Amino acid sequence: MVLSARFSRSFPGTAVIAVDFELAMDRFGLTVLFGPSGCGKTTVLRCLAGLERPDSGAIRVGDRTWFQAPRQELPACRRRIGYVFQDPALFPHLSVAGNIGYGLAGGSRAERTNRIQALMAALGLEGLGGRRPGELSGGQKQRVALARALAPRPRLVLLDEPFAALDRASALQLRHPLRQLLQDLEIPALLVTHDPQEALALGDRMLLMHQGRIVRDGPPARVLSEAAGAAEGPMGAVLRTRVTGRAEGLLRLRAGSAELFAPDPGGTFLEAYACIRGEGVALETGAPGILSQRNRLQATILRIEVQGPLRRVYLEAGMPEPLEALVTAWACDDLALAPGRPVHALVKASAIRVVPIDV
Amino acid sequence: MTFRTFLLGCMLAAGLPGLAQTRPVPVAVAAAGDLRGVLEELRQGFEAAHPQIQLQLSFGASGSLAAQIQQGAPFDLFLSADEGFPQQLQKQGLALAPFPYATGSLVLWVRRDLGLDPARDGWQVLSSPAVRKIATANPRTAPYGRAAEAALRQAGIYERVQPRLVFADNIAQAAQFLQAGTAEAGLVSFTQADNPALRLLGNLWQIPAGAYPPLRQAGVILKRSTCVDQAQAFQAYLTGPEGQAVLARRGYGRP
Amino acid sequence: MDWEAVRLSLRLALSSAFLLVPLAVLLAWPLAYGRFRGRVLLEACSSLPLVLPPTVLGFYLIVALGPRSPLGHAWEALTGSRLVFSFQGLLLAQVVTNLPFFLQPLVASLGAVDRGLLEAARTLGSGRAGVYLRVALPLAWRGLLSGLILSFAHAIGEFGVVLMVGGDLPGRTRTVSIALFDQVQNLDLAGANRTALGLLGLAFAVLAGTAWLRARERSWS
Repeated sequence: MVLSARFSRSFPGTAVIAVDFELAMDRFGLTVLFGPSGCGKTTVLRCLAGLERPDSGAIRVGDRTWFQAPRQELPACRRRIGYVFQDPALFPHLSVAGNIGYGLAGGSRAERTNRIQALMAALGLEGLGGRRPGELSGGQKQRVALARALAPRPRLVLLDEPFAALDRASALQLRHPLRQLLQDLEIPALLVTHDPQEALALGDRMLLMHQGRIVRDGPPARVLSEAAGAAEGPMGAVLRTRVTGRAEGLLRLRAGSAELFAPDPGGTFLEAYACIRGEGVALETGAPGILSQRNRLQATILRIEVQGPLRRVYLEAGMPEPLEALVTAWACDDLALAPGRPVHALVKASAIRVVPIDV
Repeated sequence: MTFRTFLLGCMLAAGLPGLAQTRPVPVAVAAAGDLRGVLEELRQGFEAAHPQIQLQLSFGASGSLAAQIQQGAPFDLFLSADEGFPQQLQKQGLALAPFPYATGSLVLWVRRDLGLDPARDGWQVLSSPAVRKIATANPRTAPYGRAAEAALRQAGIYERVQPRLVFADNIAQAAQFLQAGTAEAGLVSFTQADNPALRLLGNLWQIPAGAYPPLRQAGVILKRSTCVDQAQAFQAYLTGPEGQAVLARRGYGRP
Repeated sequence: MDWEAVRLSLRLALSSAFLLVPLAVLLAWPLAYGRFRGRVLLEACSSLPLVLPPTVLGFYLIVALGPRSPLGHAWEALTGSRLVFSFQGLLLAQVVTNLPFFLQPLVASLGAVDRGLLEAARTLGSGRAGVYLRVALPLAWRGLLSGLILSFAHAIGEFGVVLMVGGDLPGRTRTVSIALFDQVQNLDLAGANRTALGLLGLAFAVLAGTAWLRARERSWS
């Protein structure tokens, strides 16, 4: 069964959002809707959820019509979708358990309680059932929002920048359990983000939006690397660096305790973002030979995520953020890569896009 | 705030009718404003003799009360300040035959501290500039107001005093204006002017009977009444020796 | 102090306040969230009793409830007694007169509820009624309470409409405010003073109560 969405919505002024895509509804898949802020990603989500009405087009699921211009629509409450808002939107007059159980209907009280408990356990919320939302931290609130959206067993989950309101540590902590839970429950998801790292970490598929339209559709790694440098392209893995030297058209950048060489885009600046595509990072164990890479960093493997036939290897390389390297499963096995193992990360300077920071 | 609390409140509030089963039979009496005071005394005397009957008194302008009765107000007995309204109700089939119970008299009352003496100077006192407002009942709805207007016209001074007239809804309210001092003079019933509150404050002059059509006050039992017997008992008391004695003491003439 | 009038006033005010709860809850929904063509009309009509002189209100109520009206006629056929000049007729009149006092704080409270919460409820499967009853109304409970208190207080003090629709029948329609009027006409100043002070105290208590509620609401958000 497939969700087919082909609609447009215009806003006063000039903005028009026109999308055309399909989502598989009968199996798990995490699709990332990616693009800079304000390009209409949230609107797409809201139209799918039934919170807003497109101006033209149609949304169909299987042979059921969710929306057909101009006026035929299935109300939001009947679409059986889960929605996680950027701001958790927890009901202040209900407890955590009450919030999570809000959408549960039918079944015995015992069944409902079990379901709530199971979700709380899966998201690390044990023991908080009686608390009120006002007593929770940001990360806990978002977990409750997630549990609440998933409790009624929706057919599709829509997530609108769910980590945007969290601090980086909480966001990172939640990323993996989120995907794992969705996978376990076999619920397809559409996640909106403007963070390329997040997209790469979570998505099986990426829809890249630019100026209101979906311009690329495919695996996140490929889409990002193809789009890098293009107008719609993302930044990739972003590191904040300080410029410590310039020579021969190259910049010497310092990020944390690591030093990188990257192409000098020109101009005078003291700090810049270094966008390192994981595809541009190679890993090596053992002593180096003669290599073309200028950047050779000592690193320790934090964890490895499976990405189809590829492996996304997270490395602690003395930089403020983990460095990500994208290698094949073969390479992973050949090098016997495992968390905790020390390796060398070789970053092609040409794979680093430097985005100056204007003070 | 639970739903149950709401329900409970609803039931408690709306469902508290009279609980006692052996209460005396209530007779609802609609009485003209001038009877305020004297009717209270009559009630006490009557209820002492008839403990199983309880009189509930409502006062107003005779015309207003007649209108309410026409609209279905559940009175048993109507004591008007004239004969016209009771006769009208009888003609409309709403009431039994009217019975006269008293004759009223109109007086001119003036505040004592103005130094005027209406008993000596009669209508002259109204030309004093100290009398800024003259209270009277609304001639359209109150027989005493009609009588007052007639008396003023007969004396030939109506046009002159008209700008200073203040119309009260009924004659009792006119008396209240005098007591409160919002009017310095007024045309009220003798009974009201004789009330201790007003007697101390002012001087009065009984307007000669010929100056206005006689205030023959009649009462009537209403057909819709469910306690006609009890109402008739009070009618008998009112027109009998005890009632008449009270009325005479308070300044009413015989019917 | 005319205790029968006090009891009557309390019964009347409490009954009308509680009867208003379902009516106001029902009407507040389209007023707070509706976006339909007749909405302005609905808003104007429900606020009408606030601005109409009590005599106009009383007059139209007599026309609507009197023996010649369809409602009055039906009532008489059912119960054998008139609707006007009865406690029940007065109750009906009070409900109409006090509706805007209940509606205004409730609608304001509903409007202040975070729309995001209502959308979340919709995505969780609540239809419009579910969203209203399970999320919006519970979060607007202070407006509900405010409306209840205000309409109760207003009903206690209502005079013009009560006099016109109810008359001055002791035990049935002679409320405290009418009794006060009576005491004045009886030249019983001492009694009138006592009654008036009692009413003043009540009004003050009500205002203090609503002010306290408002202060708590501010500190809550």
